[in-house]
Amino acid sequence: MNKNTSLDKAQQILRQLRDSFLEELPERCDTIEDGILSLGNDADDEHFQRLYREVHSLKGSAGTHGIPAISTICHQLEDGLTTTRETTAPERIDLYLLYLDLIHRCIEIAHDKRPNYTEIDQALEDIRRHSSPHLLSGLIVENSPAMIALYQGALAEQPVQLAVEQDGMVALNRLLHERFDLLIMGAETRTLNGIGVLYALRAANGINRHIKVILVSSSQRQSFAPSLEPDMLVPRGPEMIPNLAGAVAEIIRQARD
Amino acid sequence: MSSNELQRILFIEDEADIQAVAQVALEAVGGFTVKICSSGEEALQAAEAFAPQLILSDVMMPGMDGPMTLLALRRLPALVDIPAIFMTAKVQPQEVAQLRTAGAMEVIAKPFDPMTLAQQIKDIWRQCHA
Repeated sequence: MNKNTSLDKAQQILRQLRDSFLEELPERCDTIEDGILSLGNDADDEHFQRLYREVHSLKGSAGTHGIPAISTICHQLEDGLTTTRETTAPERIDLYLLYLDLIHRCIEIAHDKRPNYTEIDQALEDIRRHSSPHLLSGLIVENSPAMIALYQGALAEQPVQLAVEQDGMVALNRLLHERFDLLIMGAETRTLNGIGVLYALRAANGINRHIKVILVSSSQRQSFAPSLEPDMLVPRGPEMIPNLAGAVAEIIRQARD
Repeated sequence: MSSNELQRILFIEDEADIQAVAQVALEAVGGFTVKICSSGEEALQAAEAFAPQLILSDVMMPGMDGPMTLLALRRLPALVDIPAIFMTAKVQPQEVAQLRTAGAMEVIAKPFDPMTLAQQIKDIWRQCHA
């Protein structure tokens, strides 16, 4: 068998595996749904851990089969399960079931001739807005744990839900698939620096192309290609924290208007 | 085949879905001979008889996780020097550094692209033996 035939055969097997995954997915969703519904019945920690593992496992499988939309849904469901300990509250259970509805919708979309998961991004954004007390969703991308702690401290009182990434490539991948309102970007990050992330974000036709970007840099002056500049440049130094807090407050004010 | 050419990979992964896709990626696309184990314990049972040239392991697994499994495998005389690669969805620099400290020569991000995984492993192998 020549190399091309062998690769064609591999792709065919991968397609079959993906089809089997989609076929078995409703059953996996049923298991997760049972787990979610049982959270209201004095579920113990073991039950909770089992549910979490199911969701985590589905996240990995979906990504491996090339359906990142399901991975993103599972990621948010995982976040909900881990960050909210009052998991038995009826409104939380309703929220988790909304995520399952979206997975079912993904199964339908996956069977389309040209699958388009754009509506899933929007639906996830709607769920987030309705379930979170925060006004905006932000992503901090910064290499240094000490700087991350400083940013988080400066913005603790602001109505912004903050996620954190330390690696530029990982952050970019997240920015291409998950909706944010605000990006706070350190200039010196690993694998892809802040300018690289910013350029890729603006150049890609993704969901976060037009979000507000605050670049935190040790350089006081930087030149940027036209239309690729950050919305605000905050120099590192003694005034960094008040300047950052002010920049975010201004973005929140604009969002409220 | 030169003695330095990578052929035999011990792959440790608990998720059946990922095992299946990786098997296609490594055997059909990469041309490797692969022994798949679903747990660290199973890997310890099978490793010496299989005599791998490379250990490719998931990190988060029930029971023995990836680093624990590698530590245990390295106690087997035949596997003391066998290079290892971890696969994980957590590719934050601190976690990667921890996995390297645990003995990994490289860390591959999950989800992986099944059509390029084998080449990625070949590249790492080549760099390791350059």
